[in-house]
Amino acid sequence: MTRERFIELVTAEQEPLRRFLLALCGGDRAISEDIAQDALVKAYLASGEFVEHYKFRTWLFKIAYRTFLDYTKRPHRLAEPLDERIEGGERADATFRYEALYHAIDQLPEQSRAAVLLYHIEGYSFGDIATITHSNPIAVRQRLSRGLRQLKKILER
Amino acid sequence: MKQNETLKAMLANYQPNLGDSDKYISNLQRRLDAIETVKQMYETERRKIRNRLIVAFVSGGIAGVAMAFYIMLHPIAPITMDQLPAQWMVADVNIIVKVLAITVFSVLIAIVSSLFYQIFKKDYSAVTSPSW
Repeated sequence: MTRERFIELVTAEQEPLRRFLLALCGGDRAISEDIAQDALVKAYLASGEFVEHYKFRTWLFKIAYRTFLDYTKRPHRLAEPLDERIEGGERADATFRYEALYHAIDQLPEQSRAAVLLYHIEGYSFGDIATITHSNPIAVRQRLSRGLRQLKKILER
Repeated sequence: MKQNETLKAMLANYQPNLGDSDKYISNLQRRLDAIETVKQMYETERRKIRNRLIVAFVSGGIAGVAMAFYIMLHPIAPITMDQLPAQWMVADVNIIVKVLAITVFSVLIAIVSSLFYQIFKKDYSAVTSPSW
């Protein structure tokens, strides 16, 4: 894949990708932007291996999700409670419009979080979510329903 | 049921402000430019190292052939030569064995030259393979 083609595809997909990462990081813009940039650089370096008939968006999200998981394994700010991260970092949404949602999402296990966000925000199928999260569609379905139940409980409190 | 719908609608309507997309892409392009520069530096360095390695190997081979011929022409001091068994003397050795000996010796010298070059060349791996 040429660099021009890569930029063209990324330009079309960068907003959904950043939106997904922002929600995945519980609204922490600084961290989500770091992860997005890292993921895009990784994707660029691996773009020679990309097979054209494969969905670019799914491939990109898969890299981004892996980058996010790598990031969470490092001992740093994502281990802190959400309030501290928000105070310490730049707010993604100045109006605090999504504060309740971020708080609720932040309490979900990572895999349920990814399944809920990819299905309900990005509109992915179970199969695509399974590809992105390196899982299987049945497990994704279970995580999704479990995640939604948990989210509902958290938001009811 | 209604709460479920509200939750799903909340997620479906999630549209945070992500800032200027053009600026984001131009930042990404700058980062890709930097990567390309490092990649080109790496490629140039790799080519240089490969060429030097070939030169070291060929020089080693030539030196090996020259040394082998020298040794074959002046094998052993005349005093000790008389004391050696007849089959050890170069004059009795088959020509194929001589050629083989020269080849093996030359290749060994060439490999040793290349290895020396590998050991003493500059290490660029830290620059060219960052842990992205």
